[in-house]
Amino acid sequence: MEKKLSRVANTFTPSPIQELSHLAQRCNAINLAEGFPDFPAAPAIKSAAVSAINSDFNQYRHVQGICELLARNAKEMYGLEVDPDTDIAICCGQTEAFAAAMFAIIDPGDEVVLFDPCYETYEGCIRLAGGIPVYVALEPPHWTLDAEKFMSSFTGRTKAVILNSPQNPTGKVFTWNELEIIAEACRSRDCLAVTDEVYEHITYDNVKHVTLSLLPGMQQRTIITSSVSKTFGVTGWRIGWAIANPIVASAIRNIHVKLTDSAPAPFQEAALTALSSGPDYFESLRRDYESKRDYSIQLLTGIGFQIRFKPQGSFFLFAELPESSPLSDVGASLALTDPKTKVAFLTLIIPCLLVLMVQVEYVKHLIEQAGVVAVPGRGFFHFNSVSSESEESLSACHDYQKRYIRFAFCKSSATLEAAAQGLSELVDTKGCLNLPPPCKTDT
Amino acid sequence: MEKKLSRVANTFTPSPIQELSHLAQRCNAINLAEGFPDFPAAPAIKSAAVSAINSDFNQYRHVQGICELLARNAKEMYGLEVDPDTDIAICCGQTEAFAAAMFAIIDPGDEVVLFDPCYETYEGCIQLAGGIPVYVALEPPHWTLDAEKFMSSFTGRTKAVILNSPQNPTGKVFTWNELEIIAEACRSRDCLAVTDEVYEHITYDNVKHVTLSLLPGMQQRTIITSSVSKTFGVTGWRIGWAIANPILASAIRNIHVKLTDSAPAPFQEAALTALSSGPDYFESLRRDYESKRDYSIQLLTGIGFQIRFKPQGSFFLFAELPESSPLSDVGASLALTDPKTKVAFLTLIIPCLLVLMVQVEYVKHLIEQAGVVAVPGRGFFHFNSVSSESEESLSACHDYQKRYIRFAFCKSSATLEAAAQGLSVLVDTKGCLNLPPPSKTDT
Repeated sequence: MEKKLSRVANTFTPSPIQELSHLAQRCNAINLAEGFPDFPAAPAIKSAAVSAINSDFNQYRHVQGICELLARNAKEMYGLEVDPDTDIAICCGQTEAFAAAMFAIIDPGDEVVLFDPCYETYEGCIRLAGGIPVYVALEPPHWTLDAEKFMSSFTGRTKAVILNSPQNPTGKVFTWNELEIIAEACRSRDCLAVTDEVYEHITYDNVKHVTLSLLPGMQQRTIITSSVSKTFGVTGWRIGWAIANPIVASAIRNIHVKLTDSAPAPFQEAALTALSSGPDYFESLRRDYESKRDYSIQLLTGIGFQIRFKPQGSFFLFAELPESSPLSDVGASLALTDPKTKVAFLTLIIPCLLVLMVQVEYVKHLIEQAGVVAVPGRGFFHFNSVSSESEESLSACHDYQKRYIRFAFCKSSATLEAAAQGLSELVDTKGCLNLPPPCKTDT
Repeated sequence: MEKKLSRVANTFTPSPIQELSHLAQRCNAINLAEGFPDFPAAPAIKSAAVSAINSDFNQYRHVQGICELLARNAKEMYGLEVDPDTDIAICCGQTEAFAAAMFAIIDPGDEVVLFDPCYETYEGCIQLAGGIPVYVALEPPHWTLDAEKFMSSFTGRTKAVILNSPQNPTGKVFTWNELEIIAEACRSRDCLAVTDEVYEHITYDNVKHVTLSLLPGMQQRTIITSSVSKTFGVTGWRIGWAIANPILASAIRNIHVKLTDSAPAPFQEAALTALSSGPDYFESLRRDYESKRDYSIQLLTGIGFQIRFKPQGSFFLFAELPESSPLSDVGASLALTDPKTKVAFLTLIIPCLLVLMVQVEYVKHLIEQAGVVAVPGRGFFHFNSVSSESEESLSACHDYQKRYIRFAFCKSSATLEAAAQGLSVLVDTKGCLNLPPPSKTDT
C-alpha cells in the first residue's frame, strides 16, 4: 500500500511537536513543548463565540467584518493600506493561509528560501506545492542574518522567501536593516515574500514588530499570513488570514475554498470581538508574556541552561545545553522508573523521534526526572542549510544544532512554578545540570 | 502579478455556488442555492460546543473519542470493521479530508475518474495535487451508470475513482450493482476509490446508503470521507474525517497537519455528542427531509419544472426546465426593476457566471421575479465527459447540460412556503412557466 502513496506523502512524518504534546498528556507531564496557553482566553471573546453558536451562526459563512477590522488594524498599528474588499482571504488559521499561499504561487521546481532554524510546517506545504526549500542558516548564538550567505542562496528558480518574525523557535524579531536586506533581494530578483506574523503582538523590551510589507516596493510582492491563535490564546479555533495584492489574495481565496470550504463560522463571528480589542488588551498581553519570559529565563539559567539570546518576541525560549554535562549512557536512561512513562516512550516517542535520536536522551530525562516536556531543537534545523563549506565548520554546524531545546512559556504561573520545581530535580549536589551529553552518532 | 501565480492558481475561479449565496444575502432573496439549513442545529449539539468553549477546550487538540465513535458507528450502521487507533484522520470538514486524500495518493499526471454531473470542488483538489480529472457522464434522465462507458475511461494512468453517494446535485444513491461495477474496475486495475458520503444519513423511500468499502476487496483500497456538516446541520463547524487503511490514514493525517494543523477543538468535543446520537435522531432527520423533498417536488412540478428523477438521497433537487418556454431575450431580462438587485448582478453575478452564461437568464429571472436563488446546473457538468462520439449526441449532450437547475430543500417549512409563493408568480395566466429558453450560444 506504500506504493499507492504519492511521492510527497511518502516523505511526510507525524509532527514531532504534536507527538510530544500527546506524550505530555499521557504522562501527565508539564507541557512546555507545544505553543499554546494553558490559561483561558479572554471571557469576552469566548462569550462572543458562545453567542454566535446560540444565535445559529453555524453554517458556511464569510464574515466580511473581519476584513474591515484587519484593514483598520493594519492601518492603525503598522501604517499599512489594505483594501478590505480585495486584499484579504480568511482561512482556517495561519497554517491554512500559508498552505493556500504556497499553492497560489509555487509551481513544481520553484525554490523557496527559508531561514534556519525554523518551524517544521513550512517545508511540508512547500513540498505539497512541488517547491524546493532552500535553507539559509542564521548565525548562532544571536541568530544574525548574514547578507552574503542570504543573497547567495538565490538562483534563477527562486520564487519566494519565507519570513517568520517574531520567530519560532528563537524568539528573534528581524530588525529594519535585516528586513531591508530581504526586501532588496526580493526587489532585485523580482521574488515574492510570504510572512508568518502570528506572534506580531508578542514582543518584548519595547522591540516593535515591523511588517515586511512596509518596506519600499514590498507591499505588492508580499503575502502576510497571521491569525487570532496566539494573540488571543485560541489556537484551536482556526481563524487566520492572508493579506496580499488583489490578484494573489483572490487566488488564495479560491484555493482556500477548495481546501476547506470555509473557516469555522462561529469563530469568525467571535473574531470580530477579538479584533476590536483596544490597546489595553495588547499592552497587558505583552506585559504578561514578558514577565513569563523573564521568569523562565531565570529558571532555566538557574539550573544551568545557557540562554545567550534573549527572545525579543514569541513565547519560546531556545535554550542551549551547558557546555559540559556528566556522561550517562543511553541504556541507563532507558531504565525509566515509571512503567507508564516507559510504555509511552516505546510506543510514542521512539518511533517519531528516530530522526531526533540525538536529543532523545534529554527529552527522556526531562520527562522522567522533571516531569517536563520540551522540544528537541534538532527538529527545527535542516540538513541543507547554506553555510560555510569547510569540514570543520560543517561539523561545528551540526554540533550546535544538537544543543538546543525549545521551551514554551505561554503557560500559567502555576505551571511555570511547577516546571521550576520539577526542573530543580535535575540539578545535582554540585549545582550542575545532570543531563547526558549529545550522543556522538547523528542520524 | 498574474504571472506570479502558479499554473494551477491561474485556472481557479471563485465558487459560483458561494457567489450565489452572497447574492441571495445581499438581495434578501430566498437561498435555495447553497446546501445548508436555515433552521437551527439540535440544541444538545450546540450546547456541547458552548460547554467546550466555556471549559476552555480552545487549543489545538486531537479528540480520539471521535475515532472511537466513528468506528462504533461504522460497525453498527454498515457492518464495517474500522480500527479507531490507526484508520481515521480527523480533518476540517469533508472538504479538507478529501483535499488531504488527494495529496496523499495523487502524483502529477495521475488520472482520477469522476462521475458527471458532480460537485464543483473535487476537480480543484485533484488539480492542486497535479492530477487529471476524467469525467464519465451518468445518463439522464435517471443518471444511470453505463458500465462500458465507465470501464473505457480507465487508462494506464488511472489512480483513483471518486464516488459521491448519495450524490450532489442529482440526489442519486448508487445501487449495489453499480457499486459492484465500480469495485470490479478498482480491483482489476488495482485502483483506489475515494468516497464522499456526507449525505450518508439523508436517504428516502427506504433506500439505504451502502458504503463502497463493504464490497469485496474494497476496504483496503477505499478512502471514505464524510463529516458532521449535513447530518447534524452544522456546515460551519468544519469537523470531518477520512477512514482508510492505516498507511493511507496516516499519510492523510500527516498532510492534514501541514494544511490546517488541527480541526477546531471545541467542535471536536461537540462532535462526541453528535456522533453519540441514537437511532431516533437519524430517523427523524430522514423523515423531515423526506417531507421537504416531497413538498419541493410538488411545488416545482406544479409550476412546470420537470423532475423525472426523484432524489433518493441528499437534499438537492435537480430540476429540468420545461421543454418549451416563451422566448425572452437577454437584453429585456437585464432591465431589472430593483436597482439594488441590478447592481448586485452587475458586480457579482455577471463576472462569476460568465462560464454559466446560458443559465444566467433563469437565475436572474428567478431572483428578480420570484425572489429565489438557485444554482444553474451547468456548473456541475464538465466538458470532457467521456460520452458518445457522434456530433449529434455531443450536441444533445450539451443541450441537456443547460436545462437543469439545482434547488436545495434543506430549509425550514416557512422558507419553502415563501419560495412556493415567490415561484408562483412565474406562472402565467395559461399556467405555463414564464422563463426564457436556453440561449443558443454556449460558452
